[in-house]
Parts: sequence; structure tokens; C-alpha cells
Amino acid sequence: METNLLNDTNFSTIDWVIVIVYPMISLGIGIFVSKFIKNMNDFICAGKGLGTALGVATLTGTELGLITVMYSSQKAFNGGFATFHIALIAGVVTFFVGISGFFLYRLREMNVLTIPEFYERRFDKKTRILGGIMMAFGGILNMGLFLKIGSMFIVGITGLSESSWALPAVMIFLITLVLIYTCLGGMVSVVIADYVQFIVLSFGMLLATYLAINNLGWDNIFNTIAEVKKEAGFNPTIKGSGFGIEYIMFVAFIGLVSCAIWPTSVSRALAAKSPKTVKRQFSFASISYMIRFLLPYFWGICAFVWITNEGGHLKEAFFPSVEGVEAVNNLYAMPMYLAHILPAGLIGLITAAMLAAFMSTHDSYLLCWSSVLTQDVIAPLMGDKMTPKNRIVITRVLIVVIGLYVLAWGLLYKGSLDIFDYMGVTGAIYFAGAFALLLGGLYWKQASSTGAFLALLAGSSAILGLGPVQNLVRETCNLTITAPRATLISIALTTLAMVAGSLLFPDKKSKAGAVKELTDKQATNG
Amino acid sequence: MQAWMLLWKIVLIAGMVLFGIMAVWVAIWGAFDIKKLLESINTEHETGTTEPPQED
Repeated sequence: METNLLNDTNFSTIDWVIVIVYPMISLGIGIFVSKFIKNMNDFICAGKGLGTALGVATLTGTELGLITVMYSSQKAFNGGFATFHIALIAGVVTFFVGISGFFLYRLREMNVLTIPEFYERRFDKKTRILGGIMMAFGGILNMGLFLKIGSMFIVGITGLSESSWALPAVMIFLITLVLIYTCLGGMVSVVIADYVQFIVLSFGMLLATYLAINNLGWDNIFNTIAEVKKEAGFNPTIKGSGFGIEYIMFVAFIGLVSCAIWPTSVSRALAAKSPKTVKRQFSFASISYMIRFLLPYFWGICAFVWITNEGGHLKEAFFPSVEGVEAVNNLYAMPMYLAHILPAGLIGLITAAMLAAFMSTHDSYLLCWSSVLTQDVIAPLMGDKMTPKNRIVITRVLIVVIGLYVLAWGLLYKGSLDIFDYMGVTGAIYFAGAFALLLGGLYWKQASSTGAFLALLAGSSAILGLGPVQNLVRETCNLTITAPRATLISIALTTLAMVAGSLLFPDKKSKAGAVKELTDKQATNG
Repeated sequence: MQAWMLLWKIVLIAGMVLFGIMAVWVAIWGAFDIKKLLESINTEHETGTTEPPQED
């Protein structure tokens, strides 16, 4: 049944042409800009020359990935308009970070290439190495499902799924393409590809949203959700919505993390022309941080309304009335809906834009984790004797290794779970510790290297939120720890470890001046 | 429920309008930023400096 439903698409030959040509243009950009790359500063931070508009484009390009579009639409397919609170909070929190420069302004002032480099300058080398390992571990685990979910969109919208080889073939094709151009151009090719993607994706998404409203009717969309889901489809504070106050707190923290702590986002701040540019960049990007959730949520809701309104075999496929019949994976609902409403030509453009979103997220993440491993783990372990050329070579090798891991994980992983929560939990392995280190390191003079080290270790408590670990805890201790609760507990533990470790084991010679000196110097220079 | 419904309608419409305006601005000024970025990297390589002058 799934096969027949997925074959119902407007995807035509012209769409295939668009989808194939578009990635080739990105590949061409990668080859063209590779001549500009001569050192690690160019490769990782684009020579620290990003202006505000380009910074906003690349932030959006990175954070508005196909994985975000897919898991967001799935979230709203289940939760209705109540999910909109996540988008609103993300926008508000990012705007606060932009206005205040929280974390990012001072990090950019210190002129570091990566967050673990800050750890060494503020604390010590072992904190940098452990921080780099935790960051790469959490981050690589976090991107494990990107390739598979992204490929599911391509398969869903093109109607390729009748062939059993389609999903793995799409995955192999996409990861090969991304690996080639990320290895060639580093951050410069990434930001230019992000800019092109921003243009195609932003206008494409707005147009698709207009068409969805036109197709279903504005009032019908809201009325259907009200009829089927009642108040739980709109109010995120009530229990039946699947959210509640604890979840909203979790979302607020994830919102802060995704713009001010998450390395791919911070790397854009570190690549900005100046600290003031960082503030402007994030103030404007707050709109993108909201939209990247809001529009995919709306598409997920529209897919739900479409299936509900159509009824018949379509509704039966997603919501089987007969017990024991397996429902179609609801991740396919949104691409199927777009394939149904978008006309030939436009559907190719939207797919190409989504493909671009997929590629720009992958290239940024691959570059980020590989450069962290090179700069913050391998180079310090080798006594910082590596030449710039060797660093670029190792970074490129790591990009390929991580790419192969993502491919293998995507092919082997068979679980079904809420992807938003999965990503929150895997990300927390890194960001719970990083939050305590950045907060303490940048704003608290007494923060010590022992406190920082303990906080990083405490961050690993976030794995309590992973499905298999949750099951183990439930069976052995009869305790239920949800993913949001595990994340909040982990943040409390890392903060406690930082405070207790710093007070009990203060540094003999504090490096707090590393932050203060720079801030004073900046103030003197005006 | 009506209040929540109204809130989400406003958020959706306002979000789309703001995003549309921002998309046009980024599309235009981003192109100039790319030109400046490539020029600054070239200048950096020629002069041997590690960071281009900060502009605001």
C-alpha cells in the first residue's frame, strides 16, 4: 500500500533535470573556490570575513536543513498547531542572543577558531581535548540519521520507493556529492553554497506554503485541527498536547543552544567580520530560526488535514482502523502532500532547494566535526607540531570517515522514534557540558579547570534520555526519565559540577584574564 | 482555544511577511558580501595578515 501511495506524484522529467543540474552547480562552486583556500583560517572560518547578509544566509542555510524540515513536519503532523510554540520560542531566544551577544560576542572577541580552543585559553589543554572529544562524539551521533531522513524525502517526493534499491542508492549518491565539494572548498564553498540555497529555499518555501493554503483553504486547515485534535492541537501547556511546561522549558534551552552553543552556529559567529557583526547577524537570523520550524510545521499540519479530508485508503494507510496493520511511516506524509499539490517544474525546484538544504547542513556538520577533531584533539595531542597543510589533509580525511559513518548508520539503523527528541538528547551529550563551560568561563572569574573538566564529564549523563537507556532504567529502577527531563537533569548536573569543582579545586593561576584582557582591549580600541 | 488559534494565525502571517522581506534583503546584500569576502581573502594572502580589518 505504501508503494502505491508514494507513486502518486506530479514529479516529471523536467523536475529530474532540475534536481540533477542543481547539485552540479554546487559542485562547480566547490571546485571554483578551492583556489582561495590556503590555510586553516580560510578553510574553517572563511578568512573571518563574513558580512551580515552573507552571515544570515549561511546561518539559515545550515540550520534550515532537510532533516529539520522532515522532523518538524512529523512533529506537527502529530501535535498540530501546538508545535508552533517551538518556533516562536526559537525566534525569541535567538533575538535575545543577537541583541545581547550572549556567549557569541565574547567568543568572537577572543578570535578563536573553535569552542574547544576557547577551553584551552580559558582553562587548560586537557579540557580542550576532552571538550573536543565530547563535542565530536555528541555531534557525530546527532547527525547519524540526517542522511537517511533526507533521502526519505527525496524518495517520497519523487515516487522512487517502489524500488528497494532506491533509498540506499539516493543515500550513496548524496553523500558522495557532499563529500567531494566539502573536501574541496571548506568554509568558503560552504557559505557560497549556503547563499545560493538560501535564495532558492526561502522563496520556494514561501511559494509552497501559499500553494498549500490555496489548496486546502485557510479556515479549513484550522477548523480540521480544531475538530480532530480539539484544544490539544493548539494549546501546548495542556497535558493532552504531548508537551506541557517541562517540555516548553526543554524547548527554550534547546533554542538557546541551537544559536549560541551549537558548534555549526557558533562557527558562523566566529567567521563573522567583527563582534558587532555577530550581534546584527543573529538579530536578523532570529526570523530564520523561527521560520525554519514554522513553515515545515505548517506543511506537516497541511499533510494531516489533507489525509483527514481525503479519507478512504489514504487515511487508512496512515491511521489503520484494523488492529495489527502497520501504518505508513508518517515521515512520508509531508513529501507526499507536496508531491500532490505542487505542479511539474515547481516540484523540481522545491526538491532541488530541499536537496540544497540537505547538502548545506551536511557540509557544515562534516566540516565542523572534522575540524574540531583535527584542531582540538589530534593537533594538541601531537604537541601542536602539525603544519597547516597537514591539518587540512587530516580534516579532509576525517570528513570522508564521518561521511562513511553517516552512510553506514543510515543503512543499518532500523529504529523508529521522535527525531526531534533524539537529536535533542544526542546533542545534549555535548551542549550540557559546553553550556556550563561557556557560562562559567566567560562570565565567572572563579571558574576553574577542574570544575570545567568535571562539567564536561557530567554532560555524558544526557545519554539517560536515549531510548535503550531509558528502557534499561525503567526495567531496573522502575523510573521513567523522558528525553526532555534527562536533558534538564544533565544541564543541572553540569552546572553543579562546574560550581562545586571550581569552589573546591580553584586554579592556582586563574586564566580568567584571557577573557577580561580582550574585553578591556576591545573597549579601549572603541 | 480561540485565543491560541488567533495567536498562531498571527505568528504564521507575521513570520512569513518578515521572512519574505529578509529574504529579499539577504539576496541583494549577500551577493556584495561574497564579492568582499573573496577580495578580503585575496588581500590577506597577498599581505600575509591573518585577519582582515574589521569593519562596522
